[in-house]
Amino acid sequence: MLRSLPIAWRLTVLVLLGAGIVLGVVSLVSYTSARDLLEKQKRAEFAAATAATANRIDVVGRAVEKITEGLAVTVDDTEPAPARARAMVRRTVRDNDELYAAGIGYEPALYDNFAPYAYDPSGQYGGTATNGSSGSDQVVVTDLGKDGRAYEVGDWYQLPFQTRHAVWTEPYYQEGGGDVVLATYAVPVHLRDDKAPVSAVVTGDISLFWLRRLLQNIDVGDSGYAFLISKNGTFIAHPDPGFIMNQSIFSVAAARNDAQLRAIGQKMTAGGSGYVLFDGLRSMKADGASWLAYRPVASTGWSLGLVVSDSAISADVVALNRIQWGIALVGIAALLVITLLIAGTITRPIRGLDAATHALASGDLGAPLPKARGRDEIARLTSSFSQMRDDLERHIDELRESTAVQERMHSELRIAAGIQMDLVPRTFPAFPERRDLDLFATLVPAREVGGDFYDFVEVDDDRLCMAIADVSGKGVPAALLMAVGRSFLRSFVREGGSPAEVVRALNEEIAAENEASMFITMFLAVADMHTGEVRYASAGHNPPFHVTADGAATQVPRVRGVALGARPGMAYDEGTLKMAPGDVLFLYTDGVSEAMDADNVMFTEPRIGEELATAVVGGASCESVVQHMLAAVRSHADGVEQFDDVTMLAFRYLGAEE
Amino acid sequence: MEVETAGEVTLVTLPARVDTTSAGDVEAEFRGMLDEGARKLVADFAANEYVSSAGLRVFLSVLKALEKDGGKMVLCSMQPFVADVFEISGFSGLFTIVASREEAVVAF
Repeated sequence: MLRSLPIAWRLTVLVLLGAGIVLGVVSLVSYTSARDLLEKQKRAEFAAATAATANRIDVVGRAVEKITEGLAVTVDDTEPAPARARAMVRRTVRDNDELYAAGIGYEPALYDNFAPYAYDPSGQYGGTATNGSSGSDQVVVTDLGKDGRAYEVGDWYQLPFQTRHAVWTEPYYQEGGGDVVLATYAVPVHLRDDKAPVSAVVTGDISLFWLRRLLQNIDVGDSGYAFLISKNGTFIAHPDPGFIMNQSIFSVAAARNDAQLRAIGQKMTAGGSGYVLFDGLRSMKADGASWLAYRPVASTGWSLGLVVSDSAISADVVALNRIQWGIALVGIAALLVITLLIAGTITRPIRGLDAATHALASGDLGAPLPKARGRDEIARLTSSFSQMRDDLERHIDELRESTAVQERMHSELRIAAGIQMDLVPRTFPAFPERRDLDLFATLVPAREVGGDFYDFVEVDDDRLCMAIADVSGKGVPAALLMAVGRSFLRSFVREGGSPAEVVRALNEEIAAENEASMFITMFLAVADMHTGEVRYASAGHNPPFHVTADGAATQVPRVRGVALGARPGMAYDEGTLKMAPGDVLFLYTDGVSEAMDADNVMFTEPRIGEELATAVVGGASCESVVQHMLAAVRSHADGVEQFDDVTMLAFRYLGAEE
Repeated sequence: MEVETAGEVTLVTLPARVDTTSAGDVEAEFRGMLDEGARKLVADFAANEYVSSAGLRVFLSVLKALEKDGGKMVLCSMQPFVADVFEISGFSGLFTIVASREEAVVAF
């Protein structure tokens, strides 16, 4: 199918195919590595963002730990005194922006129910204010044990009291403090020594509001979000405020029946780091493939998770992909156009040649050829083609001419052959009612009619006239002269002259108007059937053979006479011979004696005599004699084309009829 | 055909065969000589083996043209077969035929 396209298109298709494949492979390779690189980079960015954020949270956590532990040491060192305790907590909160609140819960068994608690609702990190100024003095100090409240049952007290270790509590809503969600670092104080019972628990609280704002400000792209879960998996921060403190990662996993999410939750709460593809955590329902990067906040025991949708990660890659394809398509389109143009310029001369060839093939030799530009193969082709066209034109003209000539010649030959054949008697036996003679003649014309003829006619009851003649020249002129000669011959013979007279009269007629210098050789004989006497005259013709019944062949004695038509006023002699019954007179033209083989060796007159001797013996019919001679001549020629007419006449005298 | 001149006499050496194929060229060459004014022609048959009736016609034609302008033609050095052809046809009576080239040159 490709072969039927024009060359320009085929070239273009092939080039594009090749270039396209190469381009495609290159593009694929570069795209794949670019994509991998991009994904790695994205992942790294993601992981870094997560780590950085976790760190930031961790820093604050550690700060709170330090401050609270510092306060615990101070409490440990001093005698408990209400005023001093209140001042301590106030100062701690005022001097530390990280803290939302600080407090000391004295062991009620050892001291009075006393738990000074200071908090700053407007702190940078605290309350619901969006812009607090640091170091502001809006600290409020209360007593958690006022009115005998049993503060010591709270987790913040019990946990460190029982375990004798500092501990971060789970986030909780502030008692009597509004909507503030707090997390507390509680440090047990062992007065005097480690073995002594815990005498107080010192606390430092951080408000988790600032966490929410921190997480909101992380750049995780348009569709990314962050969340923070506590040691129990409870959401401390989440894009959906409804989740905070109400849901845990496990409750969501249970609601969704999502085993993977539960496993993730377990890993996260166990303090692990990771990067995993999951079903998203923005709402209670699965919300599409997303990537989760999680890291622990070491100090507080929380876990931070950053989520970006899979499509966000791959958005860059998809964009890259599209750019690649765009470039490739533009490239291919440009390549297509350029290739077509280039192929077009190369094939334009070919198309021109093609058109010219069509015109030439339909016979229009004058169709214009494209000009041969430059010296490349196309130019050479064009000039060769032009050369060929000119040669063709010339050849056609020559052919036409020679064909016309040949046709003329053929028609001439056909006319001549027609004339010749019409003029010689061809019915045998010629005189079936006569028993005193046997006669047979044949004329085998050459390809180019040679103008031979023979004739025989009864002069009267007793006499038979025989003649054989050879017209010089060939073709129609010879045939016409032969026709003229034969007509005169017949008329002169009927007038009754002797052979010599007839021949002389013929010469005068033919020589009279003979511009072409044509001539006729002729042998004319008149045989008397009573006596066997033969009178003859010759006008330059080969002397016939007289063969006796027993096979002695001799040529008839020559008589003077110039070929007819050469010159007027010539004299002709007459000869006589006597035929015995059974004798044969054999007339022939030089087509027989001069028949040539491949080596240009002639048959010759003596050979005629030899063959006649064999042919005549035994009383063979004249027809068989002639056939014998014909066969002998043909075998001598041995396939060489007959050059001149072969004409023979055999006459046997059988003796007078009774 | 080789052509020589000896004074006013033009000597022509005939080719080996004067037959239908070569008769036309031979006649054309003779006519050319006649056009150039040759009036005394010698045809040398030393190299010639065969003359057909077409050849005889050429000689007859050249003879008639020469005689019209008062010229003369002499034939020489014929081989036996060719001499016989001229003899039988009676042309030997129309032309002056001598044995050798030397005799021919002085036969005018």
